[in-house]
Amino acid sequence: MKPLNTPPSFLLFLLNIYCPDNLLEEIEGDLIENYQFNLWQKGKFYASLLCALDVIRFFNPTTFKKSKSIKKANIYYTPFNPVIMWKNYFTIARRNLWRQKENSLINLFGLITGLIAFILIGLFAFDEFQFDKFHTNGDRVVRIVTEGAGANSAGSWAGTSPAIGPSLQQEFPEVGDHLRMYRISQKQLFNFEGQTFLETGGYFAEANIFDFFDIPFISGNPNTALTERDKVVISDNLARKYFGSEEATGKVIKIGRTDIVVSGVFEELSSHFHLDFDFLLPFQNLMDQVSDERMNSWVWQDFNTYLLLNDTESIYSLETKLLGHIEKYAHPQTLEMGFSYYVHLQPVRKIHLHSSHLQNDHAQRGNYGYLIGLLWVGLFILMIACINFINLSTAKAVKRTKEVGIRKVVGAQKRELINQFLVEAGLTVTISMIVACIAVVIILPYLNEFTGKSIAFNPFDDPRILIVLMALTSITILLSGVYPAFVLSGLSSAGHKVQSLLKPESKGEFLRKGLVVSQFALSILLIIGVLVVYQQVRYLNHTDLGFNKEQLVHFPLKGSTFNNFTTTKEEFLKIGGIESASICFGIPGDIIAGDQVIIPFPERRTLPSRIFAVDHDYVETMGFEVIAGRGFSEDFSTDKSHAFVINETAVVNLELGNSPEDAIGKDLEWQMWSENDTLKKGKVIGVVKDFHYASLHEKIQTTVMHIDPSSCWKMVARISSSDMPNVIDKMTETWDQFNTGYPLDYQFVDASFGAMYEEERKLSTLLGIFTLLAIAIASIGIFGLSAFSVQQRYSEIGIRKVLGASVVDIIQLLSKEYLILILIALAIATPVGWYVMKNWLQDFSYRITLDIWTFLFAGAVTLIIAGLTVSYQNIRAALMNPVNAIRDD
Amino acid sequence: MKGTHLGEFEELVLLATGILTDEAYAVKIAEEIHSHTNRTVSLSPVHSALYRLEKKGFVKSELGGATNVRGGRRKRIYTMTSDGREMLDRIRFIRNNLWNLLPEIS
Repeated sequence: MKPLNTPPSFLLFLLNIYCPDNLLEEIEGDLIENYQFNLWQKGKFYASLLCALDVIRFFNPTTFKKSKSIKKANIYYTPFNPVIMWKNYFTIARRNLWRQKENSLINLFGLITGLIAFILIGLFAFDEFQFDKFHTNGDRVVRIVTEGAGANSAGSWAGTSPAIGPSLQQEFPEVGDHLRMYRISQKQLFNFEGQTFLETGGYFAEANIFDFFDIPFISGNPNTALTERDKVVISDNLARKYFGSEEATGKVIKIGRTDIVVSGVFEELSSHFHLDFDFLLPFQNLMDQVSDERMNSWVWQDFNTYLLLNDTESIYSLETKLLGHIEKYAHPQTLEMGFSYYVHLQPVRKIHLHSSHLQNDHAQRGNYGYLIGLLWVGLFILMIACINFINLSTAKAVKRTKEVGIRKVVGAQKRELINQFLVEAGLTVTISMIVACIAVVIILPYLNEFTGKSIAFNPFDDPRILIVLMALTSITILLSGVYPAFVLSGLSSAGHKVQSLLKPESKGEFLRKGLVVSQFALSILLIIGVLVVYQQVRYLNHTDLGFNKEQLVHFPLKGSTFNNFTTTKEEFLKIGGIESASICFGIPGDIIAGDQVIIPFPERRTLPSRIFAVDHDYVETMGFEVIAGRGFSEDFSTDKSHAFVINETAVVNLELGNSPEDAIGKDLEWQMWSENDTLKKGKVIGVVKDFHYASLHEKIQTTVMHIDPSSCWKMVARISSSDMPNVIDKMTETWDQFNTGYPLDYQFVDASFGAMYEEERKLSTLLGIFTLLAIAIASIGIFGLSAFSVQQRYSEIGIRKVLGASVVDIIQLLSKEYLILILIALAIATPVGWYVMKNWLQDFSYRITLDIWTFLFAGAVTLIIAGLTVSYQNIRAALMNPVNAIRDD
Repeated sequence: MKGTHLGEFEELVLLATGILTDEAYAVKIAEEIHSHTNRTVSLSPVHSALYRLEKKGFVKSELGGATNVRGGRRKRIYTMTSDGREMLDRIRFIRNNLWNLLPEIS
């Protein structure tokens, strides 16, 4: 027999490594046979090459040693009794948890706080998404919102004109019905048998409001409740206030000077309803007070208009059709007034979260952007906690090689080891989840108080919550348990153990560092967020408004105080603490009239403007700084009828000149409110420095002040005394002397400004709390890690000390790596934080500029906190007696 | 029978196994496919396909005699099962039906 030509032996050896034994013989045989054939046909080189390619291709799942099908064929493999094994997993998991107390505490603390934060934020977000879901017709109800068009009317607002609703219903068959509501902004005096109170929160509403929204009645008939003008529907709250336990429906109550019949009482409104009111008056009542001409206006943008569509699909097609309709009917009227607008249809379920850009909106609004931001923060915190678990488990892997080795020797398969480590993660996460749930139950009332919500949390009551909690538990177990389980189960019994002892920096080191970097990047991001929000809120509250908002009090004039306001003012000025006072309409932080002014020369133009109706003392009382010309003065008789004071912005917008001085003496005209068709003609006598009359979200616009006693119905007073309660007492006394029948209804200007930034203030508080949590969890994580790495390098440190390294050297050695990680984190977080916060600041017309110090400060804070945590371990290690470390080796 | 689906290559391998009534082992099957389709067929996919077919129950196998050419290694000889034959018939039936439905190209 001729000696056989076989393929290169290393190829067969290679095949030997990965090919399962039961298949090896036939595959080898085939390869050799093929090789003979190719050798004879194509030569040695080519045959070897083809053989090599074949060998490589046999490296595939069906012909690979560890493939599942092969394992099944292995007669030595019998699965363990699963019940016993699972019991064993739990025993081991419990013992491990108990033995590594420090480690377990770090994990538990992190996961518990992470889960608490996440659950609370989740509950809050879920609640926010529930708004207006309960209306039967909710999917067909839309609100009309207006978007200004053109340079002079930028911005969006929630108000619409009274004409649009009926007009659309008539024109478009898709519109089934329309509902107009008008908010009663003035407080109404209710009087029932001597009990009198000022009530806010009322609307004029059309009778079909109960078809649009589900408002359950306690008594009365919703179908007829608002059909006639002398009826009122009140809340259960009001009914009990005035009538006690008596039946309210049918009673006659005095509102203002009119007797009105209570036609129905509705239950407390759902906390998920975007509207909030205590009483509803029939729309007919309003129509009787206003001329028909005004009710057909397309300009008067003070109504909330809702449409009930015939089907849910027509929203978007209808919106497009509306464009032409608005241009045809609205624009002729509005362009005459110097502005124009288009409208959008807003599904009622989106009103709550998607209206934060709207002005003039009385709905209960959330902020979608803030909500999403908060959800991200919750996720970040949970992730930081999961990373702690991953890092600590994999770092301790080396310690558990013996355990894994023994398990493998007695026959554990990889699958079982993975199960075991997943059980350990599962136990930790489940314990954390239970504790977190208990904590949430305790914390929730505080959150409710803070947010003004009434969120309930009872997993046993609400199966949805239970399901979500279980899903959250599973996800957290997977997030934190899967990777360590694979690393730990992959430890080999003999070979790798030696390796890992020689080289303590195991394979997971790079990933671990990466995770630490991401933890700190997230923490730094949160710190940057908090710093910027805090600075902006501070800026909002402390920025120079152009006048001193402290010690300013204002109140509306009623009855006799209104009729003789000169006397009223004199009486109030007699009070010791009042420095000056002014009768006016238009107080910063309060309602400001939007109107327009006319520039007669060189060509006649009408431009939008804020109009302040004031008296001679207004500029002085408010403390505006006059930068050109003069304020109003009694010395000039023409000031009352022919003078205007404007702000700096007006000089630019009205194109009155390059400097404030240029504007003095320019002509200005204004359409009188009190007498139709009468123009007030006058000249600019002074320019004041720009002052903020509204929140800093809004830009300062053209502002014109003039003396117009007929439009003034408020009084503003500057208090000089520091004893505010005393002055208020005296003011109440003075007020009562006038016998108006109304109580004194006063407000502080600084409080109104403070209330404008409530949302931002809450955001900064929440962010602050969550950031603290995030940093705490991340720090305690690296505390654990550094403890571990010190332990690993114990002998090394000992030897270094013996060789003469100083304490400082050792600390430097140990701290350096964390320093680098945090610097990397800072480098990642800075651009992201800059981008995110820049976007957030776009919301404000007046805002801080981001400066490098914020970012450096955030980095420094993190470095210091992390440095302190790490150095506790490091200093302890550096100070040890080297003998202790080396003696054992 | 584990799944009734048959890939294109699996079908070829199964057909070749059927044609080579008594000497059907990987090398011969690869040659057979090569000679009919003129595509280069390497050994490993044939092996994989055969293992899969066996798992699905379309072929059965036994180890056959060793030859000198194979360096003394035995070969695994495959024969088609009745399930395999039925499967091929079914595929053909479905194909024929589909072909009948295909409109003529004018």
